[in-house]
Amino acid sequence: MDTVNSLLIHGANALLWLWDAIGSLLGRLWSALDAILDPILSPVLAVLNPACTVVGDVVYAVLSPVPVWFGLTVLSLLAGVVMLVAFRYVSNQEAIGRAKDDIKANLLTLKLYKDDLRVMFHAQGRLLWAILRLQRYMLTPVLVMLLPMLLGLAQMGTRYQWRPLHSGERTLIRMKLDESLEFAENGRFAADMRYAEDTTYTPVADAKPGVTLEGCAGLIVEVGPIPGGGEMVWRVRGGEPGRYQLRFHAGDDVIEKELVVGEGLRRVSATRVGSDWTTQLLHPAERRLPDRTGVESIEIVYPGVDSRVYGANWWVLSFFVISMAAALILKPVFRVRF
Amino acid sequence: MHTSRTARRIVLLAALVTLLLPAHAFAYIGPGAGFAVGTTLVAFFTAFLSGLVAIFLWPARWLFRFLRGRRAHARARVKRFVILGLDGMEPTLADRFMAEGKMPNLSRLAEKGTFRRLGTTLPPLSPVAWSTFLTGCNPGKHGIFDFLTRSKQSYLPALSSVSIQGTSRVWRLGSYRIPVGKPSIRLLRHGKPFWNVLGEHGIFSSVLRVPITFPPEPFRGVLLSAMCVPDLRGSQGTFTYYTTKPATEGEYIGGERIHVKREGNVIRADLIGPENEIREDGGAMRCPFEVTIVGKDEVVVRVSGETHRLGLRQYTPWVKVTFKAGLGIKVRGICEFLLLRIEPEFELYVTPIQIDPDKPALPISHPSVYCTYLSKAQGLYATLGLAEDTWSLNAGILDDETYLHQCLETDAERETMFFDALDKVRRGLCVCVFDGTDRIQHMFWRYIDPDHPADDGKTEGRQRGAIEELYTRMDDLVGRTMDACDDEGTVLMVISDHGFNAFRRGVDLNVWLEQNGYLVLKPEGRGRKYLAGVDWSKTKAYCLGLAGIWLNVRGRESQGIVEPDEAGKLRDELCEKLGGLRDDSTGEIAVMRAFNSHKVYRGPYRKDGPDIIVGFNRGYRVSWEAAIGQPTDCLFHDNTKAWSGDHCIDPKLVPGVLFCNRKIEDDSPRLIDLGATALDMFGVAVPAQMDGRPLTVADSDGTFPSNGRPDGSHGAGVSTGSTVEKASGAA
Repeated sequence: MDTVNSLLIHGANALLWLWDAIGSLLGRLWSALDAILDPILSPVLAVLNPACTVVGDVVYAVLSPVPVWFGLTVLSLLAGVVMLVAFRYVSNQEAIGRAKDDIKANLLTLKLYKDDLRVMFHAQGRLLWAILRLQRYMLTPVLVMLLPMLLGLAQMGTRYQWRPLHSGERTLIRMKLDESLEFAENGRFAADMRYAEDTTYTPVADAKPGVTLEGCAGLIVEVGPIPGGGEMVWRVRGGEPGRYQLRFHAGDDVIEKELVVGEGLRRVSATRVGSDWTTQLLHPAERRLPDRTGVESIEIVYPGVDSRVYGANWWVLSFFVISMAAALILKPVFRVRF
Repeated sequence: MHTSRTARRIVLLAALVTLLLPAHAFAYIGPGAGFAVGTTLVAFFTAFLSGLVAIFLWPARWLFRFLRGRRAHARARVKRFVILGLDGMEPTLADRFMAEGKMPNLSRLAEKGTFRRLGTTLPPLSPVAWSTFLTGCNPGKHGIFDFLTRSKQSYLPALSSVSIQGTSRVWRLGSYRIPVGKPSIRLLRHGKPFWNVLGEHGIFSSVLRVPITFPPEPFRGVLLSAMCVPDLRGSQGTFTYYTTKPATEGEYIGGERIHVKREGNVIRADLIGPENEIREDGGAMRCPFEVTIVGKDEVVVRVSGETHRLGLRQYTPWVKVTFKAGLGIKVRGICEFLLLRIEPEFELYVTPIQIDPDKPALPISHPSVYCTYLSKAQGLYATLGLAEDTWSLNAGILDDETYLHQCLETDAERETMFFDALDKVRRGLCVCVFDGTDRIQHMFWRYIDPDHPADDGKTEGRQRGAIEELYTRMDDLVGRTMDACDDEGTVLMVISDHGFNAFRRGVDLNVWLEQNGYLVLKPEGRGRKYLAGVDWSKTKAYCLGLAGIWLNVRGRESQGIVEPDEAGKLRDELCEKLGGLRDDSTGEIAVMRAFNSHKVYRGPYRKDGPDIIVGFNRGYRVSWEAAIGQPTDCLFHDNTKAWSGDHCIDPKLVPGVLFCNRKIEDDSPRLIDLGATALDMFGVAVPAQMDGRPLTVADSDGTFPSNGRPDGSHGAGVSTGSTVEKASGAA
């Protein structure tokens, strides 16, 4: 029994080590890739995101009279159809067909020749090879569709993932600072901040440069900023309904961040991000932060939309199910193989 | 070029890494990525699970077979038995081409093992011969005497091997009639195929395109049906010829002519499908297609959502076509288009619309997914029983080259199946029949017979050597088969069901019967098909089909006049009179002898065939008109059709071939013996009802087993009875 336990423990340890090693390897690969892609994609997204936001605003203006779930359904169906057509034209349908036929043929081989182990092992091998080929043929259309799909999903996310802050509702604002800056030594951002009654943040008396948040009608600051963990946090309450630009003063720089207070489905930008292309993809509604301000991102922790159909996180599932169903149903109509 | 490929690979790899990162799983949401993930994951898990299940269950299955006493191969003298059937290979031609060094592989096979004439059946027709091959029984036991039989009620011809009837139970819903239950498809051939017997002893078989296996019967193995598999219209092959030519009189056997109009550069027409049985006013289902002329010698064909560019005298690949019956019910078929001419008149040929093997409308394989497996593994393929369209060459729609294309394509499809089967079946039986040998010799014999009326001597071109090329191509196939069967445990036999000869003159047996007072026509009855012109009240005998003559027996035929107790005498009388029938215009004997079927066959179905089987001399056969019951005014006819070779003559004149990679002791092997031989080689007792006897085949070291068998017994034995009955029906 001890031997079995020992074997199990060592086996589990080996698996964990393998898992870590794979994770580490992928992480390194990703870092290398990120270093290549960031200088290319970041400026591209800086141009694309505002354009997509305009398109998104128009689309949701059109959908505004209909119930939210209906709008999501329509968009999902349309996405399914568009992706289906795109898939047909950007993929090698003949090669996909051949790979799929090979997969089916080898699956049937397993059924027809089930008494012959040699044939079964051969069929398994060919099956795996056919699956790899199929994956390779799928890659091109996935890559082609990836960027438009992500841009679209990000736009949808700004509507379905978060809702505007209600008047009087409490939340936090987080300003993430550049970790490479040595705050204590250069004193650019003083750790010791003092809260002023007029809702303006002022640096401590020794006049070190710091961060101040200008007051506005849409926001009441309750506490903050509280530094720590490489970020500064404010506790705030929603003020009068409306769309506002919060102004943060950091030394000589003025940094803006959009705030939405009100009810219903509206475009909400939870985070204004820096130049990193991956975060730009996910938070497209605001321009990226200027370089060399020492601020990596500013986040307003909006509450999620509360719905099991189109609410926070659920909308992704709904979108996936509806768009896939549309694609599967319409596959024969558009004569697409996948 | 190399750099760009490397760059592409790097980008793909980078993209793959991006997609694999969990942090970016968000990117994987949506239809595009869903397609990729969904399909591959489903396939992967199915493969993994099925493999796992199969591997874990394999010992249990093996144990189960062992415990049930079916330990396959325990008494076998052979690991694998491969039979390569070359329908109609003629031994004299094989002799000639081997002597000329044109068939080195068959020469090698003959030298290493055996080459013999193989006794065929009476009559030597493919459905009869292959039924005898697979059951090991004479026709009196399997009940197949010809392609056709006749209705005892109406005297109309009917297919002898299969009966297909729609379901009689329907639910009515407005103008729709929804069928309840399946159509009835009944195999009329009796007897058990020898691979079924092998299967009962745990031996796996792969049987490809052996005639008279439709509908497929369940057994341990895989089978793809052949001869008598109908097309989608239920016929044995109906081609369609679309043309803008003004309608002319006459019709085609085995085909249909459709007049189309050209509107600018576009021609629109319909493919004709099966009858729509779910609508009361249904008629034939149709599938529209459109041909656009895009150049001097090029068109674009659009059908069922597919588009194909087509040059002059070019075939499309197999095209899937769909016929909509209504209520969402569809019937799927496949066909090929051939552009014959654009100017001055548009002419387009469409092959018979065949059952789609991917989604078969009728069962054409066992297990039912086997035909789908083949279509997935190798692409679409011809499923019609007689896939090569001989009728359209006869009618002059196709020329030699375009017809030959069909034969080569069909053979190529068959080769792929055959070699796949050889790869998969390392223990067991593997049988495959190639029909190209039969179809090409039927249609091109005129080029090797200088006296043939169908060859006016003007036809030049490369198809004059089609038969020689066919034999060398088959030799190459045999060579590759030998390579695939070069292990000591495999016995390879290359066989043909019958030989071949010229068909120069047709004998109108109905005219002979009329001249001799056995058949009387109604006034204006001459020239009417399917015996419609026969006065049954005065007719004692008639001819229908290729095999021979039927008596009009009272109590058997609906309007019979021959008393049953006089029938025997009449049969003998007809046999005597027909034997030695001379063709005065050539001075040759046209009929060598005639056989009283009640005397030459044994078995419960011996009375179901023609009463007289006619054994023609070389160069003669039943005339085209007599075969369809259309009496003419002339006893002998020159055969000027492209169908110029045949084998429906005296069986002694057209034996088949038997090549084997091992020595065979017997001097006069017969087709009927091969099933029993296979059983014997696998150590399975030959069932008593089989007429064939096992041939004595040498072991792999070249020695014959003592007393014929290793254990001194007579083979693996006969289940009941002490001797294997010698089939009197086999020639």
